[in-house]
Amino acid sequence: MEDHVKNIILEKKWFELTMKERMCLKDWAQNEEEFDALKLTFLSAEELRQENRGEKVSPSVKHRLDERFAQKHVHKKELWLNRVFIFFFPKDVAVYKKPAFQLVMVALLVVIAIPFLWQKDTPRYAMSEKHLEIEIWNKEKEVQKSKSNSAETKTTSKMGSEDNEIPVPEITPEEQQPGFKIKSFEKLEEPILVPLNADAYEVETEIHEDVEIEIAEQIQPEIQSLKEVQGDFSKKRAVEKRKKQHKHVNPEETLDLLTVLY
Amino acid sequence: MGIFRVNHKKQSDEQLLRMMAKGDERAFDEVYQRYASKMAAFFTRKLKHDKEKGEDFMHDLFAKLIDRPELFDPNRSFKTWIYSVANNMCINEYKKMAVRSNTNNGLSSDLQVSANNLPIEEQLFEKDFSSDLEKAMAKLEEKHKEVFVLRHIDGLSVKEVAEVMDIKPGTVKSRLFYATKKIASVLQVYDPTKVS
Repeated sequence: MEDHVKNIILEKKWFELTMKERMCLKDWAQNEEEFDALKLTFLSAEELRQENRGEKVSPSVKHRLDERFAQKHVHKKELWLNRVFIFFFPKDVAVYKKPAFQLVMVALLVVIAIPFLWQKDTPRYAMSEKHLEIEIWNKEKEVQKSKSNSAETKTTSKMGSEDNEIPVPEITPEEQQPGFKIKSFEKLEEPILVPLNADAYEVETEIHEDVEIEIAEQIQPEIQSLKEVQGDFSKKRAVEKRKKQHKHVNPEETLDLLTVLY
Repeated sequence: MGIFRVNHKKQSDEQLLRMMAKGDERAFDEVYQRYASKMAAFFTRKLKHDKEKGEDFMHDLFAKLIDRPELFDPNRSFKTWIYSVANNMCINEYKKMAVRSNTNNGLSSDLQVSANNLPIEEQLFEKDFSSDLEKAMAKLEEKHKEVFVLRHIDGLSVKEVAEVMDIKPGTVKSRLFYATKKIASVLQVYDPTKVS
């Protein structure tokens, strides 16, 4: 209310006042003289206010106060810095035991380790010759198995997926000799002749023929590449021979199996 | 030791006081910039227009703030607090002056014999009242004058004046009304042609 009255008095002249404004100023000014006197009062007060605002204080006062402030708070700052320094660089302690040194070392380790954390390269381990041979054997076996499975689905026979897994024998000292000779690898894949009834026998021979051709075609490049890698060819032959020996299937067992299946 | 720099100009008085208590020198500078001249003017006006004395009192007030920042209650407005403290300092000084005047056999130490031959009454008049408004204010009772000065010269609100003087806002309003009317009537007598 008081501010509203002040604004009216400062902004307007007596004759500019509306009836509402005059009613508002009723208690303050009844006539133009009183109104003007009030205007002068407020203008003078404002003038004095501006004078006070512009009045500058002596810089020596500020200087004295700054010194006082510094005296009061400088001790606090020193104490804080000392504490930090003492913590990081304690006296009478070996260099490697100082926290600052330890922190630097940890940071260094982290920086060194970061480039190796997100590498996506697959590991390439060094392989022994024995492992290579086993790998060749496993690869051949896998291909053989997949082909036989596909042949089975083609004939729609109800022959179960027999586990063709043949244990890999250990290499005997005799076989490890450089002059040791085994039969050719191709002969390993000869179809196993099992005396069956006429139909079964026909199906079986068909499967073996298909598999034999496909395997021979697909395995050949792989074997070639692996052979190049492998230095000692004689050892490989020894393994092949062993595979042949162990691939011998008992005809009676096969017959039993087939009869069960049919 | 903050990571980001604080813009002290945008901080409130209360926040600046908190920072100052922690040893922030820039906060102190900002508080000083906001209140130094106001306080100096307040003291000068209250202490018979003695500028040097006003500055000394202002120095003492800020020294108090530096030494014992805990005196300020952060829940209160700093503006009203600092004016209250200044007002109390003036009241204490009046008491001291009263004691001194008694010991000086009624002669005020402010009125000294000067080189010019003006009578003491005129010296006092010249020294204390530099404008018509101040002359008019001098005719007021202290309680009315104080309210008028705080409201219109120092720019405090009615509520703030009430807090500083520890009186009710209604009392402030009535005193203000009386003081304004009285000053207006005196000014009308002094220089009625000044109004444009």
